[in-house]
Amino acid sequence: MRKNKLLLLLLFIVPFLLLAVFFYVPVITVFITGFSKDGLKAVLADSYCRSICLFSLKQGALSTLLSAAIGFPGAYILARYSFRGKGFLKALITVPYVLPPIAAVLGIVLLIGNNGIINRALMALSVAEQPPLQLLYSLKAILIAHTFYNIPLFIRFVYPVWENIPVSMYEAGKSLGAGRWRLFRTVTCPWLLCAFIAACALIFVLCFMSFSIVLVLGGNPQYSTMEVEIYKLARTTSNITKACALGGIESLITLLFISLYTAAGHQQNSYPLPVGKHGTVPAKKLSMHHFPAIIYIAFLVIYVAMPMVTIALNSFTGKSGWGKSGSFTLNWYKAFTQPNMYNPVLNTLFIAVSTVICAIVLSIIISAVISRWPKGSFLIQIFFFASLGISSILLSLGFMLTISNLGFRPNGKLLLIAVHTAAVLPFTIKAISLFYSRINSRCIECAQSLGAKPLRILWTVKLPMIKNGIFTAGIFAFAVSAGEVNGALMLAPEGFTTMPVAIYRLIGAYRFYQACAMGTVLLLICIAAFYAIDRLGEINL
Amino acid sequence: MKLKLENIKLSYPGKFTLNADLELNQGEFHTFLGPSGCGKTTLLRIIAGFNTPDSGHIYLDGKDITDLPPEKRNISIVFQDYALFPNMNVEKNIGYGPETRHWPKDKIKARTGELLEAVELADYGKRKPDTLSGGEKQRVALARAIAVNPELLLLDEPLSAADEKLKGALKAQIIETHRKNHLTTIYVTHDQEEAMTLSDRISVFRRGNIECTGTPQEIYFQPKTLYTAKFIGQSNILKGKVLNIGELVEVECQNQIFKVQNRSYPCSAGDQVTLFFRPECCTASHGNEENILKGEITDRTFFGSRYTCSIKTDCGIIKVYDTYPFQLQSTDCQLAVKPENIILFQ
Repeated sequence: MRKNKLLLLLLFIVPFLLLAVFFYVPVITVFITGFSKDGLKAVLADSYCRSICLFSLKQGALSTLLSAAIGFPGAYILARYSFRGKGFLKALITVPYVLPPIAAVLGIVLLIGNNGIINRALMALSVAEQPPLQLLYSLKAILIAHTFYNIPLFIRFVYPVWENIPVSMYEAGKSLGAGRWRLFRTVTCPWLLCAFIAACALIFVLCFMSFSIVLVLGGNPQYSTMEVEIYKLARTTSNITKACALGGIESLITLLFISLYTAAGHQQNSYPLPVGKHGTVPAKKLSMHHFPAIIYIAFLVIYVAMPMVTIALNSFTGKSGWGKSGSFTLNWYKAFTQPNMYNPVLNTLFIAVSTVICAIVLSIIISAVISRWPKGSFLIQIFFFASLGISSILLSLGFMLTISNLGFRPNGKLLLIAVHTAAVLPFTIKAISLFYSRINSRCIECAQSLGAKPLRILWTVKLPMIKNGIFTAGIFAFAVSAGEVNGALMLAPEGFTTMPVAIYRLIGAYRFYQACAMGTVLLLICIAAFYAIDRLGEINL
Repeated sequence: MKLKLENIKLSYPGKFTLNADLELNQGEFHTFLGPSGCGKTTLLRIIAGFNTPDSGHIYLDGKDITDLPPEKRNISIVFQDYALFPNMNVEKNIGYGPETRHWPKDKIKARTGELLEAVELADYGKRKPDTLSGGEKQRVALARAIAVNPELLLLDEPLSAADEKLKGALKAQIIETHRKNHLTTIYVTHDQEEAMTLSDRISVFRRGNIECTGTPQEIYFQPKTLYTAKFIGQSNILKGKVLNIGELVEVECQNQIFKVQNRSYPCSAGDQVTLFFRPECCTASHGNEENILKGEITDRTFFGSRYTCSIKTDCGIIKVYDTYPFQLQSTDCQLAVKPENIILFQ
């Protein structure tokens, strides 16, 4: 028995060791380098760096406020109304979870760019010669892209909590004489507070660390964020110390918000769930009387679907322009017979599949640790969820530094897999541990008493019980890895291009149609992923 | 003897220490009875191998199994929530143990079929657990547990989730399974009625200790401790002082003299003692018996076949069962308690 326990302990230590080597060592290296006297001084003395820090905070805060303000009615509608297409809407707002930012960026450029669909439509209507909307390369463009991502995220965070407020709470309040407004203030708001804080903290972090959206849609140095600046400092000017200092400051801010997110999420989990079939407030049937809600739903569908639809349509458009006669073409897809188009697809598949395998194996082990040591689950989550607050750019920078300190260069693909694994681990752990925690420990004990050894129990009882969690996590990890551009730009070896990097380069070269074809393939992968996730269960961030 | 627990100890810091010494005979149906949190399930889990005792030994058929992992003990368990594997159908659930033991496929199939018949679920083989009712799940869990012919069957409050109507049917199923398979069985419950109706012997638990062990009749009518007397059924408990010790012990209680045929406590004159007798040991008096009590009924509760009456006497309130045809009058009641039905405790 002791030998088994020792083996189990060793197995449990593996993920902690791997994360220590592939995450904490590079991150600590960045911190040590950045927070040296010269690094911090260089950043604090530089007015440009200071303005970038302020702009990062500003755009993060604005994006969060906008997402929460626009998303709040959506959460209410999904929680309290039933209507045809509700399932579709729920599925649609899942797509941004797995949609690569570079694909969204491409869609938004094609929508709101000077020569984009909206401007062309407005020009056609007003017969204006100049594009009336000048949105690209501005804070507005960044906010549009961020809200495209984060309104759905906010809704997905808040509506299940809203939906699950026990009806008994309202009934108790009503029996004590509370009116609608008082019930909202004293029951709904306190109940939603933790989910609201958690959603806002996460949205702020994602926007604050946003890379490809700011890189392409900001354009102007004035609209650069810390994340983009770290990349530029590391890759263009090779000012590593300054990049590390900036990265260190960025990480401290994000870690603060991640702690807030984790604590709020933890608190939310302690709320009781409704009891029985009729434990929640019954959903009202949506009718024409609820006109504002219908308008909102239409807006949400258009807002979330348009960038994706635009990419898909443009990928079938000839150079003469979409909407003109004879413009349908498959030429951009035919180009996938060329190595410069199919190699990124193969590379992306290789990296994504490897990431999935690593993330799933580690997540299963970590979920087992959490289930065996529930009191320590908060600490374990902080240990593994810290990667949420560390951007891929910073982690990649850490790898570059650690490697140069060690004096050898490991395989760039391996590093890329490590970066992607670290990035998806918080989500995959969450998805798998959710299912793992639902395993009835009595089933395991029954299997034991019937003579099954640990490996057999794992194979015949545990894995089948968590298979939905594994599939959900795997698909999610695959989609995130396939769409990740930051690490790939920093770490991918010479000549090794992934699909998002290829799209980024095609956008840079103004080869939008080819980028759209590549983007559509990525989109299809993501849509297949989101469909599978929706069939298997929800992602609970 | 089948199972022997020798000096088992497991301490719960801040709570209590579990102590157990117990021997079970081959084919015995033994019940651990006690209130929640008294250590009965913990002892069951120690026997199954899920918990490790701080000290002591467990012998099964004379073999020390204390250090064996659960999978090597050949002890099956049925839990309160049945713990059926949700990813397997009924057949697979029942066949899990035989498959783990690498039985040949045809033997597994035959055993599964035989057990499905036995629990009257022959057509349910392909059904998933979530499509079964509580009673059906319990029968599948029972079939799964006995499929491997375990040396010991453990049942951890298997009826506590069932409603009253279902309980009767499930109890019958458990008794039938026990009798047919001659399985040594340990049953954990806090329900006295279940313990009384199912068991060959009962162990009553109190804060980690086995207070007493005996047949249901012994436990009920001749409890060895006052705790057991109070815990099981209804009781009349009076304080008194020993006056004389002869063939019968004479005890004075509020000026009423009780004659007791003492079998439990070696007392001497002048000792302060506690008298115990069951309500059903009080009968309507004809005037010529020993230990006649007089009083009036202060409360009557109807239970169909009987009334439970509270009678105010000189020595306090006495509970009595008045069975059909009802004999007790509201005023001027006369009751008698036979000396052999009174037990003395220190």
